[in-house]
Amino acid sequence: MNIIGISAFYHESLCCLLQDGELVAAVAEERFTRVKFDRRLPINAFRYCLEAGGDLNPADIDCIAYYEQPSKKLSRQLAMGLDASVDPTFRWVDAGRPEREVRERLGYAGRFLTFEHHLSHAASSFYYSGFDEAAVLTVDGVGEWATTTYGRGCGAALELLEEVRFPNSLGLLYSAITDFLGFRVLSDEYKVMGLAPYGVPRFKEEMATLLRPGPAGQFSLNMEFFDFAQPARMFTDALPALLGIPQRVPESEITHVHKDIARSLQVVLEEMLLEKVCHLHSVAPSRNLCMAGGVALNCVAVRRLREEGPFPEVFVQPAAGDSGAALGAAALAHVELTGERPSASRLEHVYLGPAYGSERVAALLDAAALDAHDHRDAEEALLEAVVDRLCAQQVIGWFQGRMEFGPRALGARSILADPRDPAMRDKLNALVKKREGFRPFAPAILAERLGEHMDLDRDSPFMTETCQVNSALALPAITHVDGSARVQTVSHATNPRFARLIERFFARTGCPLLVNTSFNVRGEPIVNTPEDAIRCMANSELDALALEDFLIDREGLPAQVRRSTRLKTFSEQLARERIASAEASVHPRLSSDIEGWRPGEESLPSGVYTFV
Amino acid sequence: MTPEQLAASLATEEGLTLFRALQSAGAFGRAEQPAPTDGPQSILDWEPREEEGELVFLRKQGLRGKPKRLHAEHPDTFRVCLFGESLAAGFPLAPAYTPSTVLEVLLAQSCGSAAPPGLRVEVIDLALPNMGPSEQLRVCEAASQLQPDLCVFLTGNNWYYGLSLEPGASPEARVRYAQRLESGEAPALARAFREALLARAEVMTRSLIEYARAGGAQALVVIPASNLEWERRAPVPWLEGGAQARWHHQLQRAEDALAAGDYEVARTAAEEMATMDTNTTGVPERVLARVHEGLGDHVAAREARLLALEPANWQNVCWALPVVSPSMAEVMRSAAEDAAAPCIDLAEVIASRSATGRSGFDLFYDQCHLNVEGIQLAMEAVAAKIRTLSSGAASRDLGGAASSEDPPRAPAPRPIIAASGALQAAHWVSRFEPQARPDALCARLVILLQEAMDHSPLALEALRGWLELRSLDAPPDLNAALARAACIPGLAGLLRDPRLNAPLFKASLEALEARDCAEIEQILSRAIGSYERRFHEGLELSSALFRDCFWERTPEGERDSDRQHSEPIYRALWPESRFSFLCSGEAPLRVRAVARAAHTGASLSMKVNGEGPVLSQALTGAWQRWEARLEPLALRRGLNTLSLEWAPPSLPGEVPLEAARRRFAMGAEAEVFPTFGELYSLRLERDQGADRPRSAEDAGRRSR
Ligand SMILES: [Fe+2]
Repeated sequence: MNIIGISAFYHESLCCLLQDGELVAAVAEERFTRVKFDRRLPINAFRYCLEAGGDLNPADIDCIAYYEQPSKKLSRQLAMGLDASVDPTFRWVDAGRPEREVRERLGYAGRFLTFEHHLSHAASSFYYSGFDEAAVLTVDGVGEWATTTYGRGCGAALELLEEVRFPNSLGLLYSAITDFLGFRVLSDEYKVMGLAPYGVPRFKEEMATLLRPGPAGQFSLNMEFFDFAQPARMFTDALPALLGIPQRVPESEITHVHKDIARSLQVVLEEMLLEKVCHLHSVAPSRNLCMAGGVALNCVAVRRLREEGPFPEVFVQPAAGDSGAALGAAALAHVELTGERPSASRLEHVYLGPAYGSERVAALLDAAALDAHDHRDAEEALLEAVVDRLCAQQVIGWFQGRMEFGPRALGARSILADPRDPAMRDKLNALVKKREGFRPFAPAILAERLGEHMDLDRDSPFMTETCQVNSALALPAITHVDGSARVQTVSHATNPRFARLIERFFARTGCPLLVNTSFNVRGEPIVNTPEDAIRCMANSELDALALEDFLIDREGLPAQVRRSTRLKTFSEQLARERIASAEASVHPRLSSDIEGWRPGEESLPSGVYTFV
Repeated sequence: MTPEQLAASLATEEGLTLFRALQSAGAFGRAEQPAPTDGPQSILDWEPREEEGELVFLRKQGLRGKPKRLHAEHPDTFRVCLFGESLAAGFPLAPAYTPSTVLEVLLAQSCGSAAPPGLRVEVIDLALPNMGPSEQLRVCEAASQLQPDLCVFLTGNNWYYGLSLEPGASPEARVRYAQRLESGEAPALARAFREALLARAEVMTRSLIEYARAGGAQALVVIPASNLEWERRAPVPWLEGGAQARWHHQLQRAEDALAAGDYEVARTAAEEMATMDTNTTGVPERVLARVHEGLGDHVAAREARLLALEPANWQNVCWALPVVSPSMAEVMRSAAEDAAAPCIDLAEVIASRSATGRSGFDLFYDQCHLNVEGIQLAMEAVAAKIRTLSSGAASRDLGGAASSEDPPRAPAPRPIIAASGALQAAHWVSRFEPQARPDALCARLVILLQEAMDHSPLALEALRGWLELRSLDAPPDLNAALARAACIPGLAGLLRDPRLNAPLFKASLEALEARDCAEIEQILSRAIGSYERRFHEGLELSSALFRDCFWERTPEGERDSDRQHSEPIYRALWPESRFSFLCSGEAPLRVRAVARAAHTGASLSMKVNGEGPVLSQALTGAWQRWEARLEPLALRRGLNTLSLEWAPPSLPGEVPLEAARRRFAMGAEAEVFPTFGELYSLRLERDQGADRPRSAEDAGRRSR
């Protein structure tokens, strides 16, 4: 039985394949198109999934499961109003579009099922958790109407017991404050979380004005302060008045007030979640809690639930955001079609994307005249050479095997460095990632050495956990200002080569951890192909690249490659923008006869707008 | 009504149709036009700035050439502003050689005899490729800040923007498509687009003249000409009673007859096609033109080719062709006349040069862009006209014609720029236009490439480098051969295109072989090697990399400049689909197709290098796998072409057109052209003998 799960048209789109209940492929479309957060129909990802399933074609697919119910979502959008100034085309009114696009553009004629957004979230956690039974909590911005749900799973059965409805939403609250703090909505919420430890929660009272607790699982937002229907911003003038400062201008200096607001928000979120998770425990008593939804990506809050909440076991889906809901939709379809639970075991790894063998890499390096060390059939030498470079404080691109799905790089498409180097964080931020400096990087640690360095007693293979660093080593590059770190535990079972690398590094240095950050530069999706990896190296200051069995030093990169892969030139960018905007606004003299050519949906403003 | 009830009704066809009708009537309001801003405005990439109380415009570096500055006031300068699209911007010779630079030299030469002493002439280039009509009006309005003496409008090719059948049109536009379909079949849709275009041409011409005059300048309208030798393969829409199948049958008959020199049969076939498609494709008109040419009647041929331009840009399934049709030229001419503005019709200027009225590749790179000779000819005519204009103020008159014995001659570009123009044109032409006759295209490309090599020895290097970039091992931007190929200016962007581009590949080999270019064998071997390696994992031939025609039904991809998201199902718009690849020709290959029919009675037949068929199958509406073995005997070393022939659909067009109308009325995408067949995959592999089963892990290691 082949079931495809799809999430699209809102966040970054994703396609996955469930084959007889086993997840065999999952990948986001952005990795192929190289457009970050690409939310178009996942054409490339779909084709990849079919190929990974063993040379399938659309006729071999038993069901395509879509992660939400378009007409139900439409009713909520309609309730928010019909405002031509937001989007005069009203494309979004067309609830039939997802199914039409799936059928016509993917050439699919079979069964098409839609599942409620939060049910998909819940399923994406519970069915992959390995728990026989569990309580389930989903928290996000908004799906159709629900923004938070409380549920219970047992065997193949999964039911939602209570929901909180739009506009009362913890995710939207977080996004609105993200917007207020001058970061990008739907993408930079994690930066606010990273900023929080630098502040003090002195705006708790103000936050309490914004978010009020309610009975049972309920809570409410004070809508005097929010406006989710406008493209420009998510809050009203009342919010800056309440907080006493204007909205932060993007890219401007981050002051103490901003940090204090971030901290206050984080604390209020955590406290509300704690209260509600206790409520969940009372209606769905269990040892196990499964979580999903965008807010479950807030690993700081999840840690508090784990430590202070009533559930000893907590499972968070690695792609807890909307794109990962495709996994849930596929699982729900499997249950509906077979009456059985898709897989009883826990999702062990996320290496479910494309791989590119060493032979192909060899041909590429040859054609590109790249000077590389060939370590085919000599893994030992490759690992030693990488460790040499890490010890020399070099920053290494690490490209091995099948690509991971989800927001984190987990050792298949990663950038690695020595966590002990006090200068490493700044070096990585400035030269490689080209991002703000306040956030620390995450460590990848050998699973068997976890307890010696981290205050954590269980594996965290997906970097969904944060914990206190209690290492005897000084680890400035990965330790946050509050002494915490977001850990990935690396095991020999799921990523053997990565594990062996860290083992070598440990043998050499006594440090069983590496800095592990995603292999991309700012504004770009994580690399997918070897070509992407080389381009990324040319566009950043990576010192070396371990590309399958090859190792390329920066000096081995011809100047011509550095030049030709440079990001789009100014004039190219200008031309591109022009094409997008050329006839977007019709000259008054032509308005009587214009046929209404407008730029495609992709060039409409994203972010806040997409809540419409 | 609750939101839930409203959503439920909007989820039905009736509900959504009603909503779109109300939306089109403006029931939910419209987007607000941005309010006009006060004070100095930028003019294209010229940014206003106040310097010591004076208004100055600075051009940002990057868009074209070096940064420059312009003072709004220009007491000693006769200022000409040239407006237009890519034609006026001098594509593909810009920025080194453009109509503006040529015109400036010409006017400077003639300015003399009677002109006031010390009067300088300058021509400001306000043309930009891909400019649409709205933007053009805004640029023209803003240009009054430069206080031009004369505005020259060499424009019209892009005025169809927003008036053609755009696959990615807005819901409102689609509602209008539906309304037009209601009043007739597809030809009615085509006629409605044409009427709207003519109405727009009138508004545009009048408005440009008005804006120029409002700014105190004279206006000169220059109507672009077209390359009448341009051949294109335009699809025929669904026709009443299934006539589209007969249309294709007649086209094949006409082509066969033309090849055999049987002009009467070709004429009859073309005339039958013309009665079916009623001038919606231009195809029968061009067939007729070839009949006339075969019979030596060049006047009739010219008439037929002009008529073929009329439907050039209503259909945007492939590519709406930027041209000014004869009826549009007529509208522009009379609008200029009504406004008493001087006007030059370049088609007339060109036609008057020779007895046959030839307007072809001698003056054009492609369908509308003038080559060096074309620019020279056009600008000489423009300069001559300008000298006859009187501003009414003697201090600003250019001073009559230069002496007739020594008319000013347009300057020539540097040889390397001429070579660049020819090379870019070869890339452009081979990449973008669905070709009616691949053989004719190849011959044309060879001429362009030879011309480039005549101009500059570097062109040979560029060509050799381009062939090296056809390797599958590395994409062009990573390929070490890029630097070598980019030795001629203007090629950088074109060289990044990873597609095989069979027509250019063939032409390049031919052109290089004629020059006894060494290393060709070596380059070819390397490229073939890269293909042979890929055959192990399988090569997806249906991807855009290997298609012969790049503009086949890619609605979303059309606006996706990197074309990363443009590979949905391959849908054949024509009776034949061609895919090319390289191979050694030594080992057998296996081709595995996953195909389905879009209509009943469809069939597929597959040929290799025109021979075969190697596979012949009836298709159903469900995806099915087909396999064929390609024997070494059928393969060649080097370029090979796999062609799929599909039976034309005979369904009466009324049925799919009514379905399309209902879709348009909902604001949804729809198709008014028949699909001949669909491919999910066309995979070419090394023939392993017996089929070996594939594991998921194995497949996971491959990628497209
Ligand atoms: Fe969600």
